[in-house]
Amino acid sequence: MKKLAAILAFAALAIAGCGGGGSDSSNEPIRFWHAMGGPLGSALDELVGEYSITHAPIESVSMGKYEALSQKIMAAVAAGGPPDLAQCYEAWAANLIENGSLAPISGFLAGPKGLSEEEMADFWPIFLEASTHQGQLWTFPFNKSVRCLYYNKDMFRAAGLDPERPPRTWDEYRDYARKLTIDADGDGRPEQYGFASQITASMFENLLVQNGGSLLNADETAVAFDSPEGIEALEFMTDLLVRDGTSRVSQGFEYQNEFLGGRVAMIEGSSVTLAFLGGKYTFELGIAPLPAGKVDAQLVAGTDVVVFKTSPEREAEAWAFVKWFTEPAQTARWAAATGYLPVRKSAMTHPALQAKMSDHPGLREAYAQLERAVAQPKARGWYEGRTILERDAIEPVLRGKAEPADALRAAAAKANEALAES
Amino acid sequence: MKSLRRNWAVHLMLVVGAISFLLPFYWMLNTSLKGPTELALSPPSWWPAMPRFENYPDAWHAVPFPRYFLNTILVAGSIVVGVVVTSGLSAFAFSFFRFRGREGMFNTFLSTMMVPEPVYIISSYILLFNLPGGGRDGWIDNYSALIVPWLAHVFSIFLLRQHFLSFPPDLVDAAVIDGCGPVRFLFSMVLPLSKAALTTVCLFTFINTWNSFLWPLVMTNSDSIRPIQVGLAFFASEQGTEHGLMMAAAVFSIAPLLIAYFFAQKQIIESLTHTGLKG
Amino acid sequence: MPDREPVSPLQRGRWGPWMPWLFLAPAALIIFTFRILPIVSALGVSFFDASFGKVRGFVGLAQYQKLFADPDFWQSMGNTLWFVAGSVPLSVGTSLLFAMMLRRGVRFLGLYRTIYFLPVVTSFVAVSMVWKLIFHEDVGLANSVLRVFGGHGLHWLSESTGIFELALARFGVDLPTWAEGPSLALVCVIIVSAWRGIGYNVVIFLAGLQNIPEHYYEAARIDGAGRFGIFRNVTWPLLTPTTFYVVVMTMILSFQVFAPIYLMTGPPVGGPLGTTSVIVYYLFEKGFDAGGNMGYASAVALVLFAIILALTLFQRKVVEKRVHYA
Repeated sequence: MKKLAAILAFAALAIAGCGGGGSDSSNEPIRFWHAMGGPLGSALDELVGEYSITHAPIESVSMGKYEALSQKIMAAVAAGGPPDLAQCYEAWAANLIENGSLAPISGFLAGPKGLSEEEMADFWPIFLEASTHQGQLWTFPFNKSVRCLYYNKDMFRAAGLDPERPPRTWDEYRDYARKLTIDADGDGRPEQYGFASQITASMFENLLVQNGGSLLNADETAVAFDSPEGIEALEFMTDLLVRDGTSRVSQGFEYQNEFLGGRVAMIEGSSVTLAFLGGKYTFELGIAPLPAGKVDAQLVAGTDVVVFKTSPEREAEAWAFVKWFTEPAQTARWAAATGYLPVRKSAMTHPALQAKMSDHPGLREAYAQLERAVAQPKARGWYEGRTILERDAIEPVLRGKAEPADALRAAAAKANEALAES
Repeated sequence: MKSLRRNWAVHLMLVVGAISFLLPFYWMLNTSLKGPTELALSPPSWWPAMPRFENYPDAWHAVPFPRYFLNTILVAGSIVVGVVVTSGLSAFAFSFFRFRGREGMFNTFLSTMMVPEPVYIISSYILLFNLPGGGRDGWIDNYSALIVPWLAHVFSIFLLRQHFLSFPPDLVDAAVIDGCGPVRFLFSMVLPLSKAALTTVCLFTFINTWNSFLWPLVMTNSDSIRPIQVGLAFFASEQGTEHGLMMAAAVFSIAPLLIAYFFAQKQIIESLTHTGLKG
Repeated sequence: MPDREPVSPLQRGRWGPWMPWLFLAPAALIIFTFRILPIVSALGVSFFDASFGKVRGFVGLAQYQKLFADPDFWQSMGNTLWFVAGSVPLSVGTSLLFAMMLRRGVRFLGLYRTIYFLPVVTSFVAVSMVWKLIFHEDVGLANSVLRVFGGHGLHWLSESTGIFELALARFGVDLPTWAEGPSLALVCVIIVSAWRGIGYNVVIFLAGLQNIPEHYYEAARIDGAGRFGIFRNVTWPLLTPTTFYVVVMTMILSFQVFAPIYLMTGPPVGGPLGTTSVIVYYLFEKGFDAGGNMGYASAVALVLFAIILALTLFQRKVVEKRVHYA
């Protein structure tokens, strides 16, 4: 038994000892880990390629999706060999900051290689607010998006709805979904659904904010999603998605395929969804801001970029790329190619972006939602808290296993524990 | 009369079984030829009304599949060679030698089979990262991370040992009387008598490596190293990948093994049967 | 294992004592470095607070206390047991049945064997992609077949209700939660993993059946044994070593199930409502989510290891004694 304990202790130490490893990499190109696949990956690689030629080489590595990216970052940080740059959600950042893995962006802003006050003022304030943790800028806005409504104008016409007037209120949302649902043979399984979505906390989070609620309390020490506003928001979501019988609840991103295949009249997506729908639809596509709730507000989605602690030289080089990428010309091209939001106000006038907005007039309004946007929570425990919200409240309610009020309260109690622990 | 009816029942069950084993493959092919509009049909069509063969080249070019195939073949090939050598040698030691710690060693080997891969995948990552000789991340994102840790395979050792133990004990004595050393005994007697068992080891190692997923998912980052299964999973999980393209990619990812299987199936099944598991 | 000389005659001479180690070295080196070392370190950190690869301090049994208090852990444990309880009989039973039918020299034996073995050579990645489509609620094959026969479509992979509850609900019976059984989603995964593994077991059973000498059957027939009598008195006892092997392997593999869950369920994986989250996935999630709670994941791993070890030892010590060897 003693021998066994000794072996275990040795192994634990071996892991701990390994934690500080990493080989000399001073001459290697700056490495950027991200989750941009498909059309987004091509757009990113184009810009990265350009920077590599004109400035310094950047090695861009796509992990395919955010889940994989998060796992890779975890393993690499554990092994002591993080990349130089990575895309990062607010809630991951909190963990990485706590672990001492990041170099604060604030440290790069001073001096000629930084950003002047004027330039900083050109960034949408909401993005900078979202990137600030404990008074410091730890992350930097990279690929930010807002949710919007995509709809099939042909189906609107067929249902006698004005294709240029998408639903604007919650009531209209349900009403439109009802009018767009067609069940000709009356078997209870519509041939055409008014609306489709996957089960996700994102939709609820937005409804909550639109309804005047918030996810966490002001100092982010406890959750606030179980407020009356939250319960009302989940009730509405349940009506729209389940009780009205006008929607399909699909697995993963299936609803996008169903929308493309002409089985569904409206879906919610992020402004980037357009890149995935691009060229594949055979109907007239409409894009609009989400139907508004009581409060004209909207959560910002998408990720930031972080610089990992390596060596001062590498960190500076990594920052140089971030700075270049967020300059008005680049951020405008990035936004035009993908549907992400330009992170700087002055980029809105860039010809590439203007051209895109005249192709899809709805985008202009969708982008304008930014003026009224709210940042995601940043508390370290929120990563777990959000998982709890999704699994213990949203999913059971939408699957008919619980009532909104009870489920939200139970999830809130559990999420509060997670927040208190971290 | 009675036996005829019984035979009917047996045949019916066998046919139903065969259909349920084949149907998913048919469905894969069927779906791989459909376009978005037909994919959205409910109920789905049993036959693509307007076969869209472009799905295949489209999927093939969407991500670097040729490179993924090449990586997989390289990795699987190296591992097969390594596993045959290491398992052959160690199974030989376990079966024909007597030494202190033999049972302990064998049981230690076997016990690793009781630990599922996800348990040790993070610590393996840390270990591989810290090994010298690879790229800047040690062995991570390097062929060595995909090949070296899999060059020995406990189940293959177990299979071969099982087979070696079925040899008559006098075989060793006869060999020694003939003045045979262990090396000559291994090469001139044991291996020639173990062709079927060795084939099984080769085939199963190849199939397992070809189909392995989690390990390469965690240990590789770049397209130039990524094997086919990870590439396929990435492609399928990407937002907005159409079912038709997804199934086309699935078809060509399993095609090489299926074709190989059709040609070698007699060998595969017979070698498995011969290895048998004689207590 | 047959008895051998205390020292094999192959080991005579100066190099004798070292000989076996030389032969063992390549495999041992790989297995110790790349299996045993990572496994021991992974299991060792369960008594520490370890996240992001850093061991922060000894916490004794705190991880285990937290683990046993987590309802999600018990749910995963329950799901795993259902998975084992479902897939072992399904896979072993079906393959034994097919092997018995094929043994009787039916026509097209080779063809059937080829077909049943087909899924074994395909990857779970590809296979789970097509099964997900088959189980698709709206445009899937499974539901369209059900509807042809006048039934209602089922939710398959997104159905969190237990199958006993689903089956009895038609008769107006409402079961208590603990008696609902595994969710339909988990049953789908069980079916697919069995589908993929049956061919292998059929071939093993066929090999086992071929090893039964024909004269036993003749003797039984002369004694006037019926079909069932022959099975009970000849086939079954003489096949026990094979059955034993197949059952143990299927069981151990079922306890370790990961790939089909990871590839077929969700999002989120383990859904709907956590009813397909098995123990290995639970462990993977805890070890790999933001912050990488490796100490906790390692505690889960040790519990799983203990279960599999106990099972194996039990099989070896108790069951094997009763096994009839040919």
